[in-house]
Amino acid sequence: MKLIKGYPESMRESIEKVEKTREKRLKAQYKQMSLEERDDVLNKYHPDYKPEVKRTLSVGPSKGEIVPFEVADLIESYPRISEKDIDLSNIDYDVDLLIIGGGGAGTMAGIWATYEGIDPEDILMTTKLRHGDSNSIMAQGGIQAADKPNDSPEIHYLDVIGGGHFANEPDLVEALVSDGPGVIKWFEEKGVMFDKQKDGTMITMHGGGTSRKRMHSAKDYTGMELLRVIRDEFINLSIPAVEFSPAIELLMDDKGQVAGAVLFNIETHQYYVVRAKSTVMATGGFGRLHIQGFPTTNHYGATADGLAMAYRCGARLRDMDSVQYHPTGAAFPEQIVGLLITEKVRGLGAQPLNKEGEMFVHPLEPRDVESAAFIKECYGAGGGVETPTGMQGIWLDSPMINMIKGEGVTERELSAMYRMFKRFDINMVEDPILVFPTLHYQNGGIVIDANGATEVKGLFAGGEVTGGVHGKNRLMGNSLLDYSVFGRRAGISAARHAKKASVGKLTLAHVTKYSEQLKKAGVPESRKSPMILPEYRGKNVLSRAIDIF
Amino acid sequence: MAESNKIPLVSVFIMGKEYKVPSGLTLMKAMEYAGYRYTRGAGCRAGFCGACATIYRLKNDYKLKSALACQTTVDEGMYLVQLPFTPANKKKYDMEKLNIAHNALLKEYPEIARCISCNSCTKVCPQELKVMDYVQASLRGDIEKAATLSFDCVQCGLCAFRCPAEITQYHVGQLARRLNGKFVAPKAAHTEEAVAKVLSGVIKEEISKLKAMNLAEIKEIYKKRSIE
Amino acid sequence: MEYPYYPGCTLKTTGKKDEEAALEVAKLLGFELKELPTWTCCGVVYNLTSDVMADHLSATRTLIRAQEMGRELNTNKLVTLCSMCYNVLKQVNLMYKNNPDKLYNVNLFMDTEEDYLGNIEIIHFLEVLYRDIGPEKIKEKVKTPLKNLKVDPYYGCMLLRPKSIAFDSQDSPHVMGDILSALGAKVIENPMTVECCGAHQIITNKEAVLDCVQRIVTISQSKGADVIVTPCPLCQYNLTTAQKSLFEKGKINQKIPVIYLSELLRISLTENNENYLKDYMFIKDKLEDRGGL
Repeated sequence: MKLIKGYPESMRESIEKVEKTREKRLKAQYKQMSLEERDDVLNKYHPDYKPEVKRTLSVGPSKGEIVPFEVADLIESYPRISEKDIDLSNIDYDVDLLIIGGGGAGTMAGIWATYEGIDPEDILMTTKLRHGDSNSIMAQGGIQAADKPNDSPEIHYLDVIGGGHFANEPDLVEALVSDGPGVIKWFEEKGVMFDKQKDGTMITMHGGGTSRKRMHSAKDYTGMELLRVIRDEFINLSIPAVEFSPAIELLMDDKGQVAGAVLFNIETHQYYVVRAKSTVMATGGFGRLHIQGFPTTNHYGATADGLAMAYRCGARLRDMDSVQYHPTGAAFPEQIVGLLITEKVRGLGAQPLNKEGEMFVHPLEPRDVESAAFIKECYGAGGGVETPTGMQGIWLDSPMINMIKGEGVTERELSAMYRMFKRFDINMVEDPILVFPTLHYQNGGIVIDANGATEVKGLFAGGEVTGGVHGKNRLMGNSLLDYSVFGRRAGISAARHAKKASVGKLTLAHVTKYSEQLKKAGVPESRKSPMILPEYRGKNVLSRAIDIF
Repeated sequence: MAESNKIPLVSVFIMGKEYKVPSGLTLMKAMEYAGYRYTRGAGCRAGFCGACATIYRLKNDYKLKSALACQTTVDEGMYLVQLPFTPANKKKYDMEKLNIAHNALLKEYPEIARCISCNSCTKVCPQELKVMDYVQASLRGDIEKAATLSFDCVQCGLCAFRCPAEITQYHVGQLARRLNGKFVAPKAAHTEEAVAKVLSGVIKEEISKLKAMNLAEIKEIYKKRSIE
Repeated sequence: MEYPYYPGCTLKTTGKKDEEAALEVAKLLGFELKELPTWTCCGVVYNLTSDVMADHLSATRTLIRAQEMGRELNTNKLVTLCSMCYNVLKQVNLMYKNNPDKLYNVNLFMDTEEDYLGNIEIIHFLEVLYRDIGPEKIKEKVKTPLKNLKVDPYYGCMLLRPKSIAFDSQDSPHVMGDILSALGAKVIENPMTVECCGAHQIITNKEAVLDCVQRIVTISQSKGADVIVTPCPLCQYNLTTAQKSLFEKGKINQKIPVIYLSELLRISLTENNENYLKDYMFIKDKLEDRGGL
């Protein structure tokens, strides 16, 4: 296939149309939808609003809740280990605090538990891949916090609740927005290089559904910059971390508390028993379940292991029926399909356009609405741009950014995006880029209170694995804030709990009990979780693989 | 990849062993297609985490090239291997006790004085950063320059592998950025003020009013909120 | 006139004063030092003691940067302020001029840079002052004659050794003295002017530096010098810090200020020099005492 500056001729024709309308569009504004119009497009086109892709959970603490098939299959799964496999009398790590997950929330929990007075030697962080391999490091656009004179946390509160379709837990939203300014100040003190004006004023922008410009950024590497700094701080504090050793089951004690976990070394296949007075679940979200077959922006380990493990201990889930599709995943070239194109691209002025180069939606509606509008344009109105592999997409008119904001702004402020497309010979300063909604975020999750405590004694949680903060739809920039606020709160609460808690006899009886319930409900025994890692090996290879070594 | 049968195949040599894979795949997807299941060497799969550092050579070219496996397309005749881990010592420091004197970085990482400006680090950087220049800036105490030049670093570690002076550049850059963010960049006064406002308790009061509203009331307030 | 200019690390850290003064002096005398847009450490002494190509890369890269900027400014000169950088860059440059095979090899190795052609001429700031401007022109521009100020010009070794890179007589150099005379100063002749200050031994063998410095300043004092001037940041540092120790140990009975030649030039060439003089009250006092102002 012949490509001209990265695009095939068929797509070049449409780009010419985009160029023709650009001059006129530079001054034009597309109106925002009313709440009624939003409901209409969501009901008709958002993937979440199709009842045929979901089913009711038949066992466990959230029995009766409706969730996507992929989530139901994960929850209604047999454990990978049983009581007879594991020798719980031989304890490998005996700690005050176990943190499961090495992303933003887990890292914050460790730092703040240390600040709270727990000796770093009495903490253990365990992570499936490397410390920092997470969705946190991939967040690009920014972190919200109401710290400007024209803004205030209660305004932020309204944006969060409205964006979440009024389904959010008010106490959690209050914690999120009230801690916001403090979080930014703390990051600044730790040495995060925020985008600032010469006098120190933070450069802030709008995100979809925000009523004030409160998106703080570090170019389009915001998540990476934050995580690099807190990981550095975590290592400076000498908190032990065990990598490539995911938790595969939580342990409980005879008093009904969560009391540690069984870890699995994915390289040597050895298991480790961890006894802990407090356990923080920070395993992140479920993007790699590929809900409804969607590609995802998520990292390799985003398989929602924590949901399955916590559920078996009695932790309730909420809002698991809602999935966030980011409106702008890459749709071309094939090599990067589904990867995140930060909302900041639209924040800086790039308009979404159909194949005729026409506007059809305001660039910054809340993410679910924007996504639904893109899907409508492609599959309802026939305005999608077709790629050589038959995929439909929407143009993001990225050349507008430098025209509006000045020469070099794209290269500087969006260096990750610019670099990614340049690797495939596409120059986003000269040509638009093609996008389509991609699976991005788990809106719901484990029920927690404002202190990051779950309903199960000894178990705490923070970050994407939890539910309630974002209701049915998270706004841009609130995930980095979420892990900062609730990772910290969970770490502090877990530290305080550990100081007075005592652990009884370790047991996996809850796992046996859960398996019996599954059997009763007729769940096929081949279904196992946690998933640990998705399976991407070639079909030809797998069809001829034999398990003898 | 449903139509992968029709896509022309290319030969790649994964650690010297030949596999035929569909053209157009990334190195990471090509290795998976060939039957490798990642534990190491894959992280975010989107160019941000640095887990998939890869080096390769092409036929008839003496150049040793580098790539992030998730961001690079396979090429006919590629010889590749991943280097998913770099042995490197990160200094432990207390940010509160550091300063930005001209030897601040040299004190923590004295080996930067061993730099001979061979530029191997810059040549191997898959992010195309000017690594040698930021090491040199670090050496002469130009923290802001070192921080800016190293900002897009994904800490994959390839520079540290190639360095004949045995410097761990990416750790030096990390410290430079933190020093820059903490001591060189001007402080945001409005953030300080916003924190004070939260501590004063007025925010709690305002939010409790919102929390007391019923659904219809809060929807109305949301609809009417001004957008600036 | 614009010259490509290579600062070197020291001028950006402990030697900042020298650079600030020199850049201004250049302006006052009608030329400009344009810093290379990117540059690396010169390589420092150790690269002179080995015959390994890698050790010369740092200097070679700087020569290529100078070649690039020289095309724009239409010159083949590269100016340095630091004596050490001057010495290193000039020796490496000379090595290429004398050994074309080494130049060929280094270009082969540095295959992502343009080839170095071997045509750059490394000159020290002093040479610009002396050859391109000249004492006569400098004299015309003097605003404050340093009448009656007794100045001991100290060269150190990096500018004049080995002979192949020296731009002045190794035994009795006169360039600094001629410039100082043009400023109206009384020039002291000190036989120690080209003796070593102890250089990098300050790190490993401080006593050796103390011995060197004691010999230099004792003669300077006996000749009645008010101030020692030097173009070298390392000499300035060693002479200043060693005197403190010597004084504390009772080995010398007074300390002589040691400043950069560029600083003294700036004081003399600036109309309104109060600002610069206030850091050097001893100069001001001397000038006033003896009716110099």
